[in-house]
Amino acid sequence: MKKFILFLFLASSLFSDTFYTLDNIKNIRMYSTTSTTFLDKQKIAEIEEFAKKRLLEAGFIFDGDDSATFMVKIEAIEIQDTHAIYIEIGVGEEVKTLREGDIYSFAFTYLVNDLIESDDPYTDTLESLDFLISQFIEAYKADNE
Amino acid sequence: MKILISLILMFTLGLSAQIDEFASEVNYSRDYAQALQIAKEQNKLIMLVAVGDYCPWCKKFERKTLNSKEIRARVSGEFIPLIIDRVSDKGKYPQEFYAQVVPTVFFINPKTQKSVFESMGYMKPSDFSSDLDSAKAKFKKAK
Repeated sequence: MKKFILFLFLASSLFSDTFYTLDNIKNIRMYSTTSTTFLDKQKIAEIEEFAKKRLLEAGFIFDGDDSATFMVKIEAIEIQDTHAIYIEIGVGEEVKTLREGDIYSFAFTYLVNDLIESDDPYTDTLESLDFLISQFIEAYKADNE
Repeated sequence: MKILISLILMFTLGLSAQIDEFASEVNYSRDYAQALQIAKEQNKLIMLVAVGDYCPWCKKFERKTLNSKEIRARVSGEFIPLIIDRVSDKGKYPQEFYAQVVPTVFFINPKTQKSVFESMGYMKPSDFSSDLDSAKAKFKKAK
């Protein structure tokens, strides 16, 4: 029993964190890409606004210059009356690799996703996005405390 | 065949280069026998850090925790630190410290060569600092 409790404790402490390093990310720009039948332009704008609001509240700024890209990706397929929806968020930026010749490359320095099945796709997508952004903000705070 | 051997060699050397670079940066030993000798002379715990090159949590543990000012100061003054690659360094350190998961840190009593405390997984500097205290307390008790 003790081992099980210890395992739960270790697991929960690990899952609240990420192996990505999120130090000093401050300035970001929003990029969204969608492939669904249930999101029109207005709803995509609402989703972007929702994500931006959460990130602004967490202290990020949307300046534009030398900023990392915060990506929101939503893809879905309709299966009869329901939708299978894949939601992913990530941070992309130019990084220096360890390859010979100091090669720089665009790379995702944070990536997390969720796969849901839903009869109310817009509401559930927002809920999932909220969950993913919360995870990101928590990991960001842990790395920058 | 020669090309394959060369590629394997280059790959292996590439792996060891990163761990060697980190060891040199934070002043950790890469030689178990040497660390044991120094630990016996100074009567300090060996802090054996087992990592894997494929392990992103290990990289983060190295960068954010072991390389932090607080932990570097404590480790250099209070322990004899050693870092090994769980896979490529096999055979160069005692089998009982072949970690099941990485990163794992073994705190080894140099007299008995037994682990008095183990710390598993990624930890923030403040949490790892508490583990350093626990390891030292166990060592003191065992003396």
